[in-house]
Amino acid sequence: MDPLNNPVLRRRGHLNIEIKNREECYYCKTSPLKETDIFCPSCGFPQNGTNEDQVKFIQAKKLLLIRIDQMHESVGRARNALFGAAALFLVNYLIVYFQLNSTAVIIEGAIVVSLFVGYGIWSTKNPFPAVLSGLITFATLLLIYAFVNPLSIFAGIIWKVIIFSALIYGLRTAREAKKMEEELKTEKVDLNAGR
Amino acid sequence: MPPCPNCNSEQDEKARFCSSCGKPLVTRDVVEEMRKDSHQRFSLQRIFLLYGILLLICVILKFTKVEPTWKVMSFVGILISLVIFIFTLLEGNQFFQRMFIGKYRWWMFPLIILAAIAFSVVVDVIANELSRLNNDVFYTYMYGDTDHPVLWSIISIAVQPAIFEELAFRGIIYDRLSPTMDISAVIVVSSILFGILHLSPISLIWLVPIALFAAWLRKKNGHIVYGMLFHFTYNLCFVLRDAYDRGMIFNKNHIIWIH
Repeated sequence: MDPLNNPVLRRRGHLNIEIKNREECYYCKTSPLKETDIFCPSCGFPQNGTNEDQVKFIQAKKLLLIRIDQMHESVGRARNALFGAAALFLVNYLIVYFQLNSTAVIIEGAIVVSLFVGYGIWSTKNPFPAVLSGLITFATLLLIYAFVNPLSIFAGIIWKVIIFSALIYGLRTAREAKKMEEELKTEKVDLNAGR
Repeated sequence: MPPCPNCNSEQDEKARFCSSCGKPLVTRDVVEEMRKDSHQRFSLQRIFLLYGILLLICVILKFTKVEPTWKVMSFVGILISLVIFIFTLLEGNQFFQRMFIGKYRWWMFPLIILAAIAFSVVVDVIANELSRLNNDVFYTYMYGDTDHPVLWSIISIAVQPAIFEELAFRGIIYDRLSPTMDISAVIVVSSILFGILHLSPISLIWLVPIALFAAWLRKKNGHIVYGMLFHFTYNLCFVLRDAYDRGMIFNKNHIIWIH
């Protein structure tokens, strides 16, 4: 079972663990469990342990899931930043196009905008490489514009800072989230912690 | 399945946790995990540093009012090669072995040369279509003041980039991205970085596919020699085409074939 969609973890409200079927793991639904199994051999849930241990197990996993959800939110913000960058460049290139009336500008703009839209779409499946590529492309383009016209550094500075921050934070969390998802699947919950 | 290392009780074949004490049966090596994690962070820092230095050199050359004379171009070429060479030395002894050891098949060499020529013809057609839009300074013109403009163009446009750009993008960056993402993403990201560093968004149309092909060759064969050959032949075609257009080669008025 995908731990990110485990209904036990996704259930809201007070934790009330009531195991009706002893042969099926309450947490990961592995079956059949042996009568002698105190812990589920697939996920380590204390199927025949104390209620306190069972609650502790679920709470620890829930905490991990909440942190993963928060990280996915910041990856989502990085995705929005990529689309935001696409919009920013679209506006920028349209303004330059109307000023210069140059086909080169519109072709270049189309390439740059499609690149960022592509990164945004890619980030839904593979966030880390998409955000990394987006961050480097964004930084490179801003550096080029700064050399061509130093005053361009200050144009839309707030948007640039917001996009940069979201991409840098998203890059960090994209990697962390992947690592924590692995942890959620394999990591043992220490039932003796805090005792 | 061996018994649980903690309580010594018997375990099922597929068990991941001990059914008696709940300890994980496949223990994760925490030190190894931490080492891998810090290696990944270090990998990205090295990529940012290499890319940043190369980017700065290219941006200064392209967007400041430096005249691209053969002296400037040679200096920049040597500087870029030196930077990449220092980074390759930092990768350690085994890096060079990794770059040159792998699958070699004799028939791949002519095939890659043909592929590079075909690529260059397609790109030439596209670039000609966009020629009105492209204001790049062209090859042999920059080396016109030298005694052997075509020869110098071949060395600085075809030989030097084929060796050092391949070492940087299909070597260092490719290797350092590998532990952080799956291999198809490594191919795409390294190719995008290669394309963007050329500082011409319009050129991305052909630069990214070329880099994708070179990175795919690296993945399939394990070394960068095919990529170098492809890169060299591709760039050589443009230098020769440019030299031909300027009447410097294959010209019946010239006794020497390449002067």
